[in-house]
Amino acid sequence: MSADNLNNGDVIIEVKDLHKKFGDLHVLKGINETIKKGEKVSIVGPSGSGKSTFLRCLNLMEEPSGGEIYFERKLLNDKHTDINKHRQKMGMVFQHFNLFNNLTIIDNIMLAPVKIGVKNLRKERKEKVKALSKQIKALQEEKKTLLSELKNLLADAKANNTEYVENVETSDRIKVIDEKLAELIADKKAVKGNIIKNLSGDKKTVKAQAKEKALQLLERIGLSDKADKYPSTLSGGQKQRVAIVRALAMNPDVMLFDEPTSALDPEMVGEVLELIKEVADDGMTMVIVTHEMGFAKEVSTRVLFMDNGNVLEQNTPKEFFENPQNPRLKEFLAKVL
Amino acid sequence: MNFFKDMFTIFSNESYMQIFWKGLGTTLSVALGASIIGLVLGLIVAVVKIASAKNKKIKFLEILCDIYVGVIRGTPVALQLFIMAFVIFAIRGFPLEVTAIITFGINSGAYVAESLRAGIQSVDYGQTEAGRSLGLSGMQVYQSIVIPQAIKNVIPTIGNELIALLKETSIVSMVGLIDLTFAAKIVGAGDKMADYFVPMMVAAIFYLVIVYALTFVIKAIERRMRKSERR
Ligand SMILES: Nc1ncnc2c1ncn2[C@@H]1O[C@H](COP(=O)(O)OP(=O)(O)OP(=O)(O)O)[C@@H](O)[C@H]1O
Ligand SMILES: [Mg+2]
Repeated sequence: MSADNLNNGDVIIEVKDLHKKFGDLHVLKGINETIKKGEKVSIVGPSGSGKSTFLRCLNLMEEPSGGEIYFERKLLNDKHTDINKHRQKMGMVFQHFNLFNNLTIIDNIMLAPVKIGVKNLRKERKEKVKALSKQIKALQEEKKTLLSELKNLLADAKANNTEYVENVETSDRIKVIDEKLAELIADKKAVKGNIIKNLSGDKKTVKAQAKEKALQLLERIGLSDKADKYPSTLSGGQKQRVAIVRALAMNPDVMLFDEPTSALDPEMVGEVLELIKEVADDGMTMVIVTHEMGFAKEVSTRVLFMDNGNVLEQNTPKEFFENPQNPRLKEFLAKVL
Repeated sequence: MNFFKDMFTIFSNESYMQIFWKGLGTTLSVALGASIIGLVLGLIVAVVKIASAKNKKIKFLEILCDIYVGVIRGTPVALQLFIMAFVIFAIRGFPLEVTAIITFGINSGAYVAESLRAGIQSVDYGQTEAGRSLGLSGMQVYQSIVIPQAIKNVIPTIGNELIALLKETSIVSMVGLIDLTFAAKIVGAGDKMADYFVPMMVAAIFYLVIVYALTFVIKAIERRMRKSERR
């Protein structure tokens, strides 16, 4: 690892000169931002300033019009990047919860872990078979070369009427290759056989693990009794708490929140903020767009002020709220506090 | 009182009833076969159309779907049936019943596609976003979240379309296939009852019974789906 990499070891998201346009509307105007592991970054600013758009660019829910977004040092807005893989590590919580209406609460939580778990298992197997095939092919090639070498030697000996001296090294190597080949071919057969035999079994294992985890998460938020209910039977606060643990079920490295309490009745805001705070205390890296200034002050390690597509100011919560510099921020805080 | 007497005559006359049963069988099999083709075709066209609208590389598929839906919905089904029966499948010995099933299947596919497309688009986009944000692929989201909700949304519309389809099959009599409607005409002809009114009423009763049964089933499915999400 280079020195540069070591220095950036704890950077989890890096945004360089991010632009976003909707048609003629220039919503993000060149944002640069680095978010480190464990940081809790709050984003505040007036309506329409581009907060949601910025957040949604981080996991490519919006395609950036320009600039670069790195997540765990991988460039996300590149057509060769498997965005689904990276999104699994970036949980997102929406203003309107977006629980899957056609699934029970527990299935809401289990859906992605099961679907993705099974898919990955299959992929893993396929890749294993591919790797084995490659090894087998390489060995077969080598054997072929060695055999033709031997043949040439023999022919030479015959042509020159000299005595043929067996090349011990080569024939030993061929023996080794034969043994190894037999082994690899047996391996490949076993893995292939397992794919067919174990498909349903694998699915069951993945499902059982996902279920256990989902039940734990429901227990944590005190909604175990709702496991088999549908979203329409839950209160807003309950829905949002389920949405949060649904994202947590994927073991994300970062959580993105877009005004998680804005659609809630006032009496339900507390329970949701409480859960977010708990997640924060567990060390999760978080980016939160919020209008709850008190919450931003309490939970964040850093607060950003966005206005008109730019980040105009950022600071520790204490400095940010007690000693704002930018006149636009002063104006904004005067209005909301 | 003549009406009831005639009615009784039909129901007690085995040869008359045999014509009706045969007609009923044709009507039901054409409607059922066409429904299956229509539902499958409709789902495929709806999904392809939505997918190709987003992906410029397969834009031609969208155009193809538009032409299909436009032509089918823009021309009378009787004309479509004539074209199929007298031009495309004008092969000696080709069963008329199959021609009818294919015609009505292709026809209802266009209507089903449009309803399903509307149903898919009526599913809140937040559902898709939530799925994609978890790392599910577009296909996985479609399969597990969007399509099930879309189907639930469109069951009343599709149900109505299937009922309409059942009634529309009566035009197969125009190409000489003996369905329920044609059966009534045969029984009412001069060499049999020599009166069209009562046989037509009998056919009407058959249609009504089937339509009510279908309506009942569709309502039951609707209710069950709604209830399951209120648990
Ligand atoms: N999909 C879209 N198509 C067109 N314009 C959009 C789209 N999404 C957002 N915008 C526009 O981009 C601008 C910034 O929107 P954004 O949602 O990021 O603001 P915000 O800071 O989150 O505001 P709020 O506090 O109201 O949520 C707004 O003018 C909005 O109308
Ligand atoms: Mg917003």
